[in-house]
Amino acid sequence: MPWRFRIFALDIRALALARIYAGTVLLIDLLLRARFLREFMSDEGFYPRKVLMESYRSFPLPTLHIANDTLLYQYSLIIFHMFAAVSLILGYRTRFSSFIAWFFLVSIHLRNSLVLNSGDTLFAALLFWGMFLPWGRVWSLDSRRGSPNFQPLAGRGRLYFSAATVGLVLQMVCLYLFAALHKIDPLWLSEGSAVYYSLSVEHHATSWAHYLLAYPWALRYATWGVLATEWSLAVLLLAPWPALRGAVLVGAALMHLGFGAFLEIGIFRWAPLVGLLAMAPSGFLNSLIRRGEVFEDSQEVGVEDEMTTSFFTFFMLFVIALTWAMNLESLGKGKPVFVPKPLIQIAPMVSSLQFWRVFTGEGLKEDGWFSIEVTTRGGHHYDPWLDGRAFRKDKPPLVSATYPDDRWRKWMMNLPSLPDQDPAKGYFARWWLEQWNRTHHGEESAVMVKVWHVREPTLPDNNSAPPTWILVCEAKS
Amino acid sequence: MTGLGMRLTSCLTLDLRSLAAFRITVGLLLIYDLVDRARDLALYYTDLGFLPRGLLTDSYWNSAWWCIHLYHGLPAGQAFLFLVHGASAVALALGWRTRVSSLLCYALTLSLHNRNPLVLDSSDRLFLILLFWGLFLPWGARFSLDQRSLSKEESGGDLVISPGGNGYLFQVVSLYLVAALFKIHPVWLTERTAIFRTLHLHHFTKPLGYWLLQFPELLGWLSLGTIILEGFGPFFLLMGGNGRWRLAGILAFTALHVGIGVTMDLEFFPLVSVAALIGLLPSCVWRDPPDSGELGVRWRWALHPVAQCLAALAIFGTMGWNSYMLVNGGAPPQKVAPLLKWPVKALSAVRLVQFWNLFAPVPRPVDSRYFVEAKLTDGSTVDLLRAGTAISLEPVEYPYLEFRNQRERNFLSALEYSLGLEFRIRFLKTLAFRWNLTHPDRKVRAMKFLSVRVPTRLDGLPSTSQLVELAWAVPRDSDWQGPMNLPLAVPPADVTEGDKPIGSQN
Repeated sequence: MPWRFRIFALDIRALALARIYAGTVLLIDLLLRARFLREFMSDEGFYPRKVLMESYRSFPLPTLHIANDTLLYQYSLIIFHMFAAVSLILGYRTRFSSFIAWFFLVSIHLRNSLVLNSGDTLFAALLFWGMFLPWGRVWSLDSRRGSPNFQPLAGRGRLYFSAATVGLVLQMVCLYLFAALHKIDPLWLSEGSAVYYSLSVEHHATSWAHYLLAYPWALRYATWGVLATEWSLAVLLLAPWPALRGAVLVGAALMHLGFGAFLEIGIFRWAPLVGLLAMAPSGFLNSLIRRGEVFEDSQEVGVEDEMTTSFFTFFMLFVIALTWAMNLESLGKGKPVFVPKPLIQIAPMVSSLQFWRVFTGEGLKEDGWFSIEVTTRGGHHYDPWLDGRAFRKDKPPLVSATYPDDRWRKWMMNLPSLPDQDPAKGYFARWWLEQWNRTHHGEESAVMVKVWHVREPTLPDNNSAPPTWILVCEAKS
Repeated sequence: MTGLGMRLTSCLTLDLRSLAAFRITVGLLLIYDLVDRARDLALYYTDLGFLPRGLLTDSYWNSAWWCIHLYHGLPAGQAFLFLVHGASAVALALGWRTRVSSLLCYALTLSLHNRNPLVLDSSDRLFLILLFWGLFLPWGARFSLDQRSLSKEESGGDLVISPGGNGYLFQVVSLYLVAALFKIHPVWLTERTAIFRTLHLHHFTKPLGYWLLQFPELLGWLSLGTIILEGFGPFFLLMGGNGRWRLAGILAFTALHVGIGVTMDLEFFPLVSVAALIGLLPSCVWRDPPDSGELGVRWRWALHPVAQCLAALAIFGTMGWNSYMLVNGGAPPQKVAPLLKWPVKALSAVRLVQFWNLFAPVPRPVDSRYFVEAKLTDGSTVDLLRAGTAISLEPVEYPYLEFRNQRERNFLSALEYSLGLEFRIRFLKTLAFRWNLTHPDRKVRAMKFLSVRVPTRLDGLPSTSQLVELAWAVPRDSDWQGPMNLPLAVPPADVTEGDKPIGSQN
């Protein structure tokens, strides 16, 4: 088999698995978002569209989620989006539902980008490639005979090769390669303290992380271990030997699940597995799946080569090039160097604007927690953020558990870094004031709300700098 | 079928070929409208223009509106949507993927209208309503790319009664009936000065209109004729049979709109009104007699129960709204009964809300010309509305020629009669900003927005004009900052700018 097929041709069963898994992740993400839709996405919350309009924000793509700002509309959109996720899982009108899934996801991301993490970027990029992949070819409603989208498999191979599979594989390579390149930093190399600092960021650290912090030598080896794993993933994902690739994929999956055990990182736990599943080698799938109704063992492994000279192929190759170019740009500091400006504006339209600089740099030492102080007319102080009881200055036992979910965590962590004149800050404090006064009256009604960021940078050897209380924003009645 | 049933059937029957002609006309009109709007893209639809998104959503917004044009504040983003919009209009005219292109045309037009409601008039509302009914019409079934490769059976017969067709017919009929009912007033019926008064609105009147003013008696009969035509013509549109009566009704209304078009500069209005009639053309206008037979399989969706329910809801909503308008004298509801809250929201969301009290009951008794007087740093005074020529308040022969297009006229009217001070100041500051960009050595120091109002006099004597200061402003460089020269915020109406009470004379 030619080397390009060995590296980039993907098994259509693996693609189907990736589709089912991606649909499930999307559905769960949407269900989780639906809980706080009012707060994050509507005019009844603290990030109404007005904030975006007043700060003259423009978006790379027409954004459905800002066309109207009522909660009813946001719920209708998210329910429609959930239907698309379900039909992606079932493989019903796969190409159309893939498009809706991606387009609506990008639109949600643009509506409130302060609650996103790198997992969201990766998930959108992988869904983008999904639109061009035949991932509804098996194990789908579309594959049933009589379905209007039925494409017979006879005479075609079980492996599929096109610019889209190249795009997907290279996207995963990009992720590990640039994550590793961004880690050229003393914390990861000479000091080997990056894992120590990462696990000390109490915004995300789970209780497991606290146990691990007692073993500094293990943390140092873990640092170098993670770095070595990322470098080898970047190279070995392109290995032309199925057995090696299978082992590498299992290793990568374990690494992501390991991250997920120690750190609350939301969708970043789950998104990379979409790409890893899609790359699962055929032999691996054969041994996993005993029901051979799709492929008999005698059926010859054929490759369906769709790398043709068509508009779509050129478009996808362009997107691949743009993705790599944008990633290279992200290595530099500040302004883009070589990608022309029009292309930079196109990049977010095709989910190519990426930044894999995670868990590195001096920012890793930042740590602390948040507190919201409500002053009542009667002169009492309460903290509705932590537990609604009296306001106090001591640190919560497990900071990462103070956030209702990952979106809230990201929102709170982003809030202090916004410029002071950003209207989002004022709306946030005002929202808490109104929430409080909805249920409290008379002496207990709030006259002032202060949102505090308690900054407590991490020092070496399980020490912290003394906490400083920084006022993020406030509102008076 | 009983005789009555037969007659009702023939009343509601539309010809697919007429509907296709209607589709093509609507598509072409949309292209025309987009090209016309694109000339002033930056002024009306971006944050650099008269109505930045913040001002729109803060001060002139209905929570039921839907507007995807809000996604971008700069000309590039709006131009992108205009291109998509134009492409859908071309697809609609060609009948390529008609359902999708109808939906795109409707949604994008709705969104465009909501992006700047201040430049709209009744013709835009009617146009959007036509696009709305197009969503339900099998108007791609003839003269389209969609039907090219279909066999005879798949194409089906030429005649159709569909929920969308009923809604469309009902809309056209109610438009004229409601317009006639609004005109029940002495100036239309007994005094009959309505058209005389209308032609005194100089910012519309064309030369032929001025010429007609010599014949007040004739204009009196035309006033009466208009209300009679609008009151009884719709019943001709409802006539079935061999279609001759319907054709007569269509021709009479077309004559009315042509008459309006040649005497008054209403641009889009006569075109849209005539377009609205095209879909009703009876089969006798086509060379071939209509094929009887079922609607083609491809267009059966137009008869689907869901389409029937939606169309019925829209018809009831339209009927309810128009009745309310008639009872309430043409004013939209200020406070809505709780039971009606959601229906009214739904009507505003799809923009089926409609006002057919044009020039009724009495045309506006005053006519305005607008000036923006700017004092420059070199001491001269210029008029920014007239390309920076020296200001002159002297009357001109044909004031309608002074407007760039209908959009500018609507916008200036809205500024004078229905908008708050912040809109006027924003308007002035935008003009100053644009002037300063091209004239760095002669910047604007202070500016005034003036209206010269001429009340209509029926006795033919010259009327005394009145100079009104609508707003004044002192533009500052600090209003506009940042890399794109975006305004930092909507300029506040502070002590350095304001207006004098309307009606004060200089």
